[in-house]
Amino acid sequence: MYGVRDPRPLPLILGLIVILAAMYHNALVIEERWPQKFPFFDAERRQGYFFGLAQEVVPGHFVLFTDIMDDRRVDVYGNFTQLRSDDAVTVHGVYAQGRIEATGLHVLGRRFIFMIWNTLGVLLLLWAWRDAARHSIGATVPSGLEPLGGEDNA
Amino acid sequence: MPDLLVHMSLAILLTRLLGIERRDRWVVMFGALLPDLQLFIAIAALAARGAEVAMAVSFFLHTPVGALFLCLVAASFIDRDLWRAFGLLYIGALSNILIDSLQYPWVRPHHFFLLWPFSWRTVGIPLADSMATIGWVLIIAAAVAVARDRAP
Repeated sequence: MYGVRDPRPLPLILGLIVILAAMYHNALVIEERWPQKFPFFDAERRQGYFFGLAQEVVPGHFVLFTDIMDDRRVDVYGNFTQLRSDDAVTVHGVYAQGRIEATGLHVLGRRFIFMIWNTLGVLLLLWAWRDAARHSIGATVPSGLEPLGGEDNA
Repeated sequence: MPDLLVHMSLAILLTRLLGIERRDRWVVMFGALLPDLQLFIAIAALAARGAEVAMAVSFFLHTPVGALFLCLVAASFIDRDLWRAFGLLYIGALSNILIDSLQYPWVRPHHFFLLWPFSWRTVGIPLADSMATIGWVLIIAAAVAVARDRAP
């Protein structure tokens, strides 16, 4: 595969060790600094307090994604049976307070568009990779055809 | 914004501005993708530690220091001189982190522990209102740069 090689062991192992150690260290720090269980939502009062880092499906919890798409709107999507328009939310960490403007398909539609942009980005990278490979191969091919075996065969 | 299309566009413009060879441009673009790989690590960590920890343990890959080690791992797979590959990847990774920082403080807070591991203070440049515009400007500028390259 163009531009890719078997990994050099030293940088690979060194990098992975540091990354794993940092993740372990951070888990300890985070659990110490933010011991609360996020997210939670008071269904009766229609108010919630969400951790801005929660991003994936957790069975038994709300499914959340907080992000900005544009115009300072924070997307919160997930358990649509409990989150409704006009519910009050606080997103911990983002320091944003507001009300849910939309739920359900509207939010998912925005995420879908975001996914399209991301897919286009990956395609652009693959195009640049292919372009580099073609350019590199083109630069190494001799301009004229030579007989097989070189001069001995001529 | 910025999504991967914007990150790639910024990387394309950087390769032109820095005069990086055509065969190396994809390495810078790959570097611009790397900090966002934390999402995949977060998903893996999710099952083990819970959602609130999952993102947080991987956030440091989206910091300048964390990206150093991520780029080191990635550079070990690139068929170039190690430090050249590392440098190209890190240019891309820094571009990703810096443009994300323009959204401070309105997006996921783990993007902005820019001083990690020296401080847990979040740092950024609050330009969120203009991000959509900035993103489109970058995309169009990158498209023009690519079109100029390919013009006869």
